[in-house]
Amino acid sequence: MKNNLKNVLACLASASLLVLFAACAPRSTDTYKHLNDMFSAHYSEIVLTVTNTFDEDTSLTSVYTFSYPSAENVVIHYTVESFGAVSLEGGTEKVTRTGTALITDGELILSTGDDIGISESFAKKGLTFRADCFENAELTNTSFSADVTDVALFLGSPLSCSGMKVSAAFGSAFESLTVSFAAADGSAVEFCYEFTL
Amino acid sequence: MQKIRRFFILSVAAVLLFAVTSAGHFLRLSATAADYYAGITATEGDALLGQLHDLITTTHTRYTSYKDCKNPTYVKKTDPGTGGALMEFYAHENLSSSWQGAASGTWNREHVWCQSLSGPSKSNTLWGESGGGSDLHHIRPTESRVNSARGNNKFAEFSGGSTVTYRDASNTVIGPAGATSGGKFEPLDFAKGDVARIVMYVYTHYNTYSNVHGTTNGRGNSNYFGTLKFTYVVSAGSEDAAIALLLKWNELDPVDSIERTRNDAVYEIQGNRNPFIDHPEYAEAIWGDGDIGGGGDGGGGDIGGGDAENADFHAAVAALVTDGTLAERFQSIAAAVAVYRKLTPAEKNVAQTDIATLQAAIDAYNEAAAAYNGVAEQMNGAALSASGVLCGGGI
Repeated sequence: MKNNLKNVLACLASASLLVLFAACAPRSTDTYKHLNDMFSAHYSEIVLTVTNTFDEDTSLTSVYTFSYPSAENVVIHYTVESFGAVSLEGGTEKVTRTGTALITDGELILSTGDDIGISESFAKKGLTFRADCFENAELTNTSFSADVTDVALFLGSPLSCSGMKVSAAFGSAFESLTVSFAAADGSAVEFCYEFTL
Repeated sequence: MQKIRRFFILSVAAVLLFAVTSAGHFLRLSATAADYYAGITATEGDALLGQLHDLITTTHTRYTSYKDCKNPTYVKKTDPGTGGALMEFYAHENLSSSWQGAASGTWNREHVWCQSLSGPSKSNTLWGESGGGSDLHHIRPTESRVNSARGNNKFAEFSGGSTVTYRDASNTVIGPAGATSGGKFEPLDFAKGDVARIVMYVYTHYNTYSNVHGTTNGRGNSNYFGTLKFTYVVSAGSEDAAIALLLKWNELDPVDSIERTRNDAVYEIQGNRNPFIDHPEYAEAIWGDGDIGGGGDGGGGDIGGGDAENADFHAAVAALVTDGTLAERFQSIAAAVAVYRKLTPAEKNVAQTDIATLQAAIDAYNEAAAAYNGVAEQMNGAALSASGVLCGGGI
């Protein structure tokens, strides 16, 4: 009898521990399905800001605004900064290229403004949220943050970098998402997404 | 035995004599080159033009022949390239120095001021292959096809046109050498100043003295001298417009070490110098708005206010930031470039060391900026790729 009671208590304890563990750890499958669903939701506009900071007063910022006039169309307005070349005749510190591209059913239909090789840049899949991409994941009802351990899996393609972190704020859909890391040359990089439903 | 000994002694004596003579010559050359303009007292305009005409004609002690102009010994001295080659004039590319009858891919003798343009009409020209037509300050080695493409085209600036390419002996295109359009030829930027200073030299020298306010034609045959106008060789509506283009090119492409080396080498052969290479400020002083400050100083190239400008430039170069942030480096370079752009050609000539320092800082900056741009481009691509906007009609 005592043994049976012991077994029952042991089972209860184990079950409690499992429940406790499950409550504390990120809810892997459901959690990441929810994040992936939010990332795949239809937003009316997304603004992506890419910032490269090379030293305390030297940085480049590029802004891409995606809007979706219909399900099959994506319109991208872009402003891309780069450093200009200097000569004895003069030169500017930064050059800004701007333009607009219309992408329909995955194909670049129309492009105006400065060329930034846009057709090649968009042919990859998006971010993937999976348990095996992250460490130190922290999730609440309105936020997610983690260290990214598998960069290629998370971004969809490999990237030489270190210390990548992701953080996101959301309600029923993403509000903002930031990916930050150090590039191979040591410069600090941030991808910041702002979402509008 | 005695003959051998005598031969040996004579040989040694000859070598010693040559060495002493050569050393003396070079010592004299450097001193004389510096003093060549000691007699120039005029500071501007016709007076300066006249004094320069007298100077370069009276010191022109040896009129070289057209045959001399293809003498490899001379050409190696006057137009040295690298590795024993000569430097082609319009493309500044190496070319074999051996004379091969002006075959394609080899060099020919270019009259920068064409024979057919050395007078009011083709049937009334001042030179062919002598006098001004075989002056080493004037005749330059050019690749034969480039020479043909330049042809009798007048110098000008224009948009578009056909690129003149410089090719090697196997007809492989090495690079551009200028452009032609409708009877006009435009040299590359780095040759424009060279062309302008040659044209000014020829004009000043071979105009007969009364045309250029001189007093003598020096030692030259009287047939070598006559009337020359800039519009003969420059495509322009007036002499003023032609002069304006030459002054512009003189400023755009300052005197470089290639021209200085050449000026010294030709001086050694024929006795006179191209004053517009030694003193590019003379051009503005004669035909432009400039004058030479401190008249009677021997034409030291000291344009009024130039010292102050050069001091500002020197200070700006000294203040260049080479190990700070990219933004700091840009700011310091921009400040130095702003001062540089205010310098006159003469001031730039004096400031060659500072210019080289600035150029090195610019090159290093551009290299760093290009590297940063490469990183930023890669990051933008990664961000866009990660966005996956093409997947499912939305992110």
